[in-house]
Amino acid sequence: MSDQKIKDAEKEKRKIRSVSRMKEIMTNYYIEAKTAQQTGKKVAWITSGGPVEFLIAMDVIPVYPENHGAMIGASKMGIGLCEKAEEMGYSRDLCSYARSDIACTVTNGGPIGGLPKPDFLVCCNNICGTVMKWYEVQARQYNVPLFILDTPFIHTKFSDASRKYVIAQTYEYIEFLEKQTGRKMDYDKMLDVSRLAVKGLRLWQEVLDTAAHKPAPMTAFDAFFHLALIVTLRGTQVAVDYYQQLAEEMKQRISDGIAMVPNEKYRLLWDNLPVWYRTKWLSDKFASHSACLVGDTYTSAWSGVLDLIDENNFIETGAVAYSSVYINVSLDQMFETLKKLIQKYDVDGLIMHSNRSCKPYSLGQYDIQKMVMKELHIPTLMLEADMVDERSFSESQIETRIDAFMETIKK
Amino acid sequence: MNLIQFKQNLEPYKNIGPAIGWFCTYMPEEILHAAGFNTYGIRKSSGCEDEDVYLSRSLCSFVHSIFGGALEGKYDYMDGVIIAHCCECMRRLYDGWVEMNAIVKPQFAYQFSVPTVNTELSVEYFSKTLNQFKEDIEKQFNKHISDESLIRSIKIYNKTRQLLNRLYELRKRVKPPVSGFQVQEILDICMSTPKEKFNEYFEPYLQELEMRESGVFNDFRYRVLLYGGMYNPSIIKYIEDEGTGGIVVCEDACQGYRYFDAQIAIEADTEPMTAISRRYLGKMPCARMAGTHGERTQDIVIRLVREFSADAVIYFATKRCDNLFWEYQFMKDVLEKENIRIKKIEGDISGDIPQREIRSFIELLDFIEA
Repeated sequence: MSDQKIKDAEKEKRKIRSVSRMKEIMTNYYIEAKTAQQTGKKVAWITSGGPVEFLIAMDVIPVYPENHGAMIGASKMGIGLCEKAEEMGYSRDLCSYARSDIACTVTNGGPIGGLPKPDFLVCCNNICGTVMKWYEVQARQYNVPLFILDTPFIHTKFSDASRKYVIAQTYEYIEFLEKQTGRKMDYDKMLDVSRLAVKGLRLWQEVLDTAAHKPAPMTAFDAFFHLALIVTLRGTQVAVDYYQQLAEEMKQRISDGIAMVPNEKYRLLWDNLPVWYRTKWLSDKFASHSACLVGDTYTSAWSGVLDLIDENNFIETGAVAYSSVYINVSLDQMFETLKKLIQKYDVDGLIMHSNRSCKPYSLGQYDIQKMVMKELHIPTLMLEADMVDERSFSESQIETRIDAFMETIKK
Repeated sequence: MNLIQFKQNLEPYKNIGPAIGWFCTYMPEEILHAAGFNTYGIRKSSGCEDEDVYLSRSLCSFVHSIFGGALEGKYDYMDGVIIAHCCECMRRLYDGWVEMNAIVKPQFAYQFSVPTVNTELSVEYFSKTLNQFKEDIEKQFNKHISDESLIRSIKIYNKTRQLLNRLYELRKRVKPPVSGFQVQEILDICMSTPKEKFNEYFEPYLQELEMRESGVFNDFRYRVLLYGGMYNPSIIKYIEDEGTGGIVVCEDACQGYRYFDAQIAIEADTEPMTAISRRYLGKMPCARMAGTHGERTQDIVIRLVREFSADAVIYFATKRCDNLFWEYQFMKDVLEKENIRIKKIEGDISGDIPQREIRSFIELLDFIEA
């Protein structure tokens, strides 16, 4: 067998088989959402940190503009759309997910020709303040109602007042949905959805945990891709079945000794959202140093609050859990989460994406970086970029910094 | 009494302790006052915004300026600072303050969340948050804040708000007796002197202004409403400069109407903290506010334009303030539909801003008028 054939066979062996199923599910999902008007189903746009389970229980199709933003970034369509938004008057300093999504609304552009028209919007500000303004823009654009779930930031501990506030809003959310759909909430169905959501989150965490194995059967770059269902279809059997399949495949890879990065020597952790238009480039770059990004703070954010959820009382415990997500807590608490990830995955270094678009994720990174170096004594690298807008990515500068960082790790 | 005499009268009371500093108009000063503190709004540029190397460059110049000032020791005389968590930049300010606690004074920094919507639920939540804040202040400084002292403080601050509202009423006149720049000076004094003293000295000065029949400028051509958060004072200076031909008649801004527009309604059957919460969440909204309350912003500006007979709106967008950049899109669309001219000026809270753009805008108004 020629060297090339051996190489191709090796590459083929490392491919994750479930990818095709994932693509199939996402295609069907978008077809269903895009044809909702014909099928008489309601469509709601919802933020990625929002309580989607209630929409699933009410038979409403949830659509995620942030997932759309990620697709725009991965399709390398960010620059054109961001520039279009800037022409419309939106400052370049604003979030590139928001800019590119707003531009799609008026151009029907982007990888799927724009999102299906919403019947209403649901915005939870546990991830940032930007989503509120972004959703207000879209609510006016489509002239549809907007529900805002206001989650207080957790400075020290989640106060009783905060708990009562978010729970009371959850009941208002149910009333809002009942009004929008013209149906009463079916609480038995809600219980089923809650159980499926929790099951899906557990399986997703199980998938992520397999990367703690040395060598890792998957990388954080794979996790970025496979994350889509836990965001978009959380609370459905489809998501549960998929993550069951993916978890089994990962365990099989461990048994078969298949590593995603050949000759994995160095293990790294990623902080912040992906650089969607450069995931392959970054993956290859790190792999060229025999380094594997085994975990990240982003994809584990959804399952990171699993312990706070009681599936039999999702209405009340879910509200608390969603308020407690990774970027809605103080730096100390973020550091504690990060520390656990660093220990769990036994990493040699931390890569921090200082994301121009995401202030809540990026602003405290310098402090966290100092905490990591002081307490955990591992090297860290700060890469300045943007999740969608390629104009903020300087390849030569980032390449030099990664090479220099890897030299430090190798010492 | 003129402005100079008024300023001189209050000079001995500026920045005296015991004092607690605040940064955002969603911070209820009454609670701190009831604990025996003078409350000072840290609003002006400290002049140190470029020296801060501890915070990210993605933050607005207001936060850089505050933190730079702290590093330079400008607030050393204070007993603490309170940071209302109103936006990501303010949250980061708190992180920086805590992180640099060994260097930065005052050491006591406290932060609390402010809801982004104004509903019955959020009013209830915010009043509980403020009660916790009150208890924490009591514990930290070994003080007791009674309902009586809180009501007394509310009355003092309500009086200040009444006086400032009367001042703004004068600006509705055909010939306003005060300029925008003079009003800024008055607000600066108000935020840096004990309110009892401010009320005592400001009222007679205000009465004199109310009696005055002549306008502060004889030759202005355009009345401007300024919208923004924290803005660069040069913008008012440039609008009102001799030769430019403008006068600022109203500011819907943190250093303006948003600071004093609504009273705290003390009623027998309402807890003082609930009344405070209701006033602060229901006041003229900052661009950070969302929901039906936030959506009032553009209607309020239209109302103010009419009440103050403004010819145009100048929108000061502080660089890196996401909320103001988002709000501009709404404002522009709505005002243009109402045939109200709007001009956006981007800049930091100090340093140079594009004077030429302001002049060109005024010239454009001349052209339209012709």
